[in-house]
Amino acid sequence: MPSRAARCALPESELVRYLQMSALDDDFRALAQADPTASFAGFDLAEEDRAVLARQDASTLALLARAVSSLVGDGAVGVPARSEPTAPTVQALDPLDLHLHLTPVQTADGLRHQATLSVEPSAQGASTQIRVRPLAEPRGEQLAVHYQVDLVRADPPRPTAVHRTWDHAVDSPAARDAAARVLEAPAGQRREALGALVDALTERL
Amino acid sequence: MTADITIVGTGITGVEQVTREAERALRQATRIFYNDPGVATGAWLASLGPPVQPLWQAHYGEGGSRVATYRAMAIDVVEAALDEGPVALAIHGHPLVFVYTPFLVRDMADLLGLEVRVLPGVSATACLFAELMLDPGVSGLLMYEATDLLLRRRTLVPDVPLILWQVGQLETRLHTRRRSTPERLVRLHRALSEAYPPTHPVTALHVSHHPLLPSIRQDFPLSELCERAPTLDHGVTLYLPPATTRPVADPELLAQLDSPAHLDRITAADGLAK
Repeated sequence: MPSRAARCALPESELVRYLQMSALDDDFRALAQADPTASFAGFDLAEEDRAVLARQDASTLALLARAVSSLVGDGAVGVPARSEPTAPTVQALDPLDLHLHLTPVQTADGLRHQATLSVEPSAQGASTQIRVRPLAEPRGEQLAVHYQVDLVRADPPRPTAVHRTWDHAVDSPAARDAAARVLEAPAGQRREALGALVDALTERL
Repeated sequence: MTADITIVGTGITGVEQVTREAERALRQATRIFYNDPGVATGAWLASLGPPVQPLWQAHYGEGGSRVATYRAMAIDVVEAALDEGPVALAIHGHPLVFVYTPFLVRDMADLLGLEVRVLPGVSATACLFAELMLDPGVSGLLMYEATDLLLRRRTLVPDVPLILWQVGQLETRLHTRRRSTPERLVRLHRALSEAYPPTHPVTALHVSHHPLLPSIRQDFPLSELCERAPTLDHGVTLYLPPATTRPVADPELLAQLDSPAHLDRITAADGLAK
């Protein structure tokens, strides 16, 4: 029986070839399962590996791992290196909806109201929506921002019909802006913009 | 019509489990990206015609962030779809089961006006049902990712079969091929022990990844979980059968299940459903 060192010196490509053929070729697989010794003909396999392949038991897992490792080492394909994503660009200020939710509460002192103000619709039912629109004016090198406030009667929040696996920020202005920059970039030069898009989508994860 | 990006599953045991619709989609792509460590998957994909680009070889690295890896993979796929689509992304097992990249690809594509189509594949869940002869229709089924169970202190329901995924990747988001130590399983053992007795049977299953490799199954009591850590590698899924049975809580409904009169009440008399 070859020594461990001798076995290691044998090309792993033979093991890979055997395992690939037994996975892809129906006739060969049938032979490998019915008569492993006969199936080794034409393969330069180490005795230890033949023994494992003949047993076809859990120890085959180690052979598979070795074969896959050798594939990784030999088969690396030139994939463009991932560019580091750039910092998010400054976004225009978008209108903001504030949701005011009032809840009457009976206390020992009489009727009181609890109020919550949030940027998300209330989960408890209808709320009053306050639309805040930024009115930006350039002032020297600074941006002066005033807000116009409108009261809007809000519809009751609708339940989300579909659960979306992974809460990516698909509706965020940053993501939309990043997507626009991807589409503006010429073919072959989009990687950096795609990185920024991924950053924008995953910012709240 | 071919989508800009078609995401397919390549099955668990090997390309034997690739569906015919998946193979057709792969052949129609201008480029095939794949993330499948199967020893023959790359060779088989290369035989289909389009150029093939492995993703895991390019992006995984010992100690690296798995999340960063998935992001880089998504960028590869979407970039190619924009430049030279339609492309295909072939993923080990079912393409949406315990895989993040397709979800990122979907949302990037939505914003970029690209169409994404997902074709199902044979998942580890399906293989596990076959190996364990488990029918989730009988007692239901509870499935958690093992780290997520601990992180969120998910509820365990001892009368429902439990499947715990990715025990070999427990408590880290970094990629490694190193073996687990018993310490790695301590938190998980403690959490399970709150719902199951020490003698409760646990099955650790590594479903077959090659036609010549049988599935590897270990059966042991819960009390031995930690000491089994070195053998619970990346491919291992834990199965815990129910510890108790839940009695029927609605005898009125039970009585109605075989009642023709009840059937008449809950179905329309004017024809079959279309």
